[in-house]
Amino acid sequence: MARTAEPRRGPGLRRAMGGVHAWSGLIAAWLVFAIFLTGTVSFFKDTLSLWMQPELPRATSPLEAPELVARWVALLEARAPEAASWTISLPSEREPVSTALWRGAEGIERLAVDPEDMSPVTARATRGGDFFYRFHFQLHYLPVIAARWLVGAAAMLMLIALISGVILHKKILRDFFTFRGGKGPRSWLDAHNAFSVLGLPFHLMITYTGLVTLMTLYMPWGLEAAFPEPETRRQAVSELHDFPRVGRAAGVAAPLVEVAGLVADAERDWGRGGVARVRIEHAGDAAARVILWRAPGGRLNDQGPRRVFDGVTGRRQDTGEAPGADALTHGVMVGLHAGRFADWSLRWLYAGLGLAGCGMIATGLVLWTAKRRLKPRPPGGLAWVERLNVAILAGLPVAMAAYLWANRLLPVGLPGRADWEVHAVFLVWLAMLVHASLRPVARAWREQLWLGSLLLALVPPLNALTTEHGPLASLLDGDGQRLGVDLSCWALAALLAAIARRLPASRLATHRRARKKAIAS
Amino acid sequence: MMGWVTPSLCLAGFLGLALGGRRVRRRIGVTLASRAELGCRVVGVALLVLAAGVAIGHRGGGVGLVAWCGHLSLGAGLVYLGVIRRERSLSPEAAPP
Repeated sequence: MARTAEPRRGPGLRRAMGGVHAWSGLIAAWLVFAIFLTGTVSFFKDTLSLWMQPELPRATSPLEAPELVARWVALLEARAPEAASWTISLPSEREPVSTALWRGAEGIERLAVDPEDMSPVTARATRGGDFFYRFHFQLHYLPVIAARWLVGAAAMLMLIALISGVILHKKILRDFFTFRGGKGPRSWLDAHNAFSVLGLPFHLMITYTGLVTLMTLYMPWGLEAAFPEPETRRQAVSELHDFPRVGRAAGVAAPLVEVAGLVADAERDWGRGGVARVRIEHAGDAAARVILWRAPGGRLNDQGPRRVFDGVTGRRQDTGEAPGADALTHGVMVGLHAGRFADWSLRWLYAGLGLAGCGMIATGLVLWTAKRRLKPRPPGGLAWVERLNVAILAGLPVAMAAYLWANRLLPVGLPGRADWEVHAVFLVWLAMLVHASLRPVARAWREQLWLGSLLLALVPPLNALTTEHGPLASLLDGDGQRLGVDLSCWALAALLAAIARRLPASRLATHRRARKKAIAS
Repeated sequence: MMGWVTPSLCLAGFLGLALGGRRVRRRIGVTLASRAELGCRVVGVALLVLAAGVAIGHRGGGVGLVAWCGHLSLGAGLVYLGVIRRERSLSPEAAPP
């Protein structure tokens, strides 16, 4: 009896997810790689800023917070009496100087002092680690809002790629420890799976919370419905981001409360070093207000408790109650993303998992091209995907290393110095794109990886030659933060060199190697 | 001192889970009875759960869970690298040239 033919099944969920995963990943991957890499460096943005400003002192015994704030108030009353508000940042383990910001006649003004003796500190103009931090969510040279939309779209595609990747990977636990080396696309797939699965909780968390941090931009409709008036909406957004708007002055003179006493009271409850920031609004006016923010150490909620006082009577204006569930959820999401609560060991875990994310994206991109290269008729445009892979995956680390070189080599007095450091990044990155377009792909990979390795390896010697904070000096001085940057440069140089060594010198070499293996087996 | 306990438990837990897998054992040249295989898996999972308890007890509910997740990835990554290294030491031809 003839067997009845079974009806053909349509493409299953997994097969459908394969297409979604490959294309959502490919479209977003170059941008997401840049976001992941610069975001990973941002976990150390304060440390990097310190390294990039070798003129900054290393305060070993700063003044007590109440004394420091009292001196700041006296200084700012003389220097910026007309400013609507002063925001004073107190020194911490990561930020050795104390700074104040206010809006003056020429825009936002900033003053940094040595917290040991309040002497002004002048350091070279640089964006420091803040450049990478800003780049990872608003890029550069683009209108800020448009760039944030672009980053949001890439993050959403990344989230889709992650979820479809989990559905696609049917033997996620069985294949957990599998790696088959030297087998072309199969090896790239195993490496991609390893980077993805090992850091999966982190990859999902960092992508989702990244979208949440800019949720009022991406999904403004709920806020618009709840707060139809623009002014109340702005107020709500300010509250959500834990940055209350400065109110209006009363125009009636009144003496400012003793702010040092408020800080001392807060430190009794929050512990020494518990106050991170102090904002004083309309000092000397009847509508004066003082806000103290608690340092985030050890708490997930990034928008930690704050105390609000009447700036004349010193009476508490906030209720002192815990934030609502919405503010708490938002604060924890932002806290999880930024990792400001993390001590040094957790920060290194964050950084390691961030690098694993970069590895996941990089191996995914290489796998995409390696699979298609094996086809009898490789798709058109594949060569350009390969060249873009080189320029972004290998070229970006070169450009980032160039940022550190520019910081040490550009003259301190150069007009627009901070901008030129950033221009150096993009000029070098453009050069890497041109290089990748002109050289054979296999050689371009190796040359750019070796160049990145060389530039990073020479950063600490360059630092020693141009400043007094070389690795040896930092070691002898017990300056772990600056030493950490130098050692990280060496570690990353070794990583890039190890990758470059494993890559074949040419496509011909890959074929020869495959043939040799076939003969041997 | 307490900071090392969670990563060590995670490492030991994943080692147990790796030894509980037939494919991994074959690759690293380890033979186990089927009862021992189940034991490895049970002990592996128990150690990971214990690591969660230690992390939460040490750092609190929120940060403890974050630290535990990070240490899970670290432990799994180290075992992954260890398996590759062991496999290559057993059969050098498995290593890429």
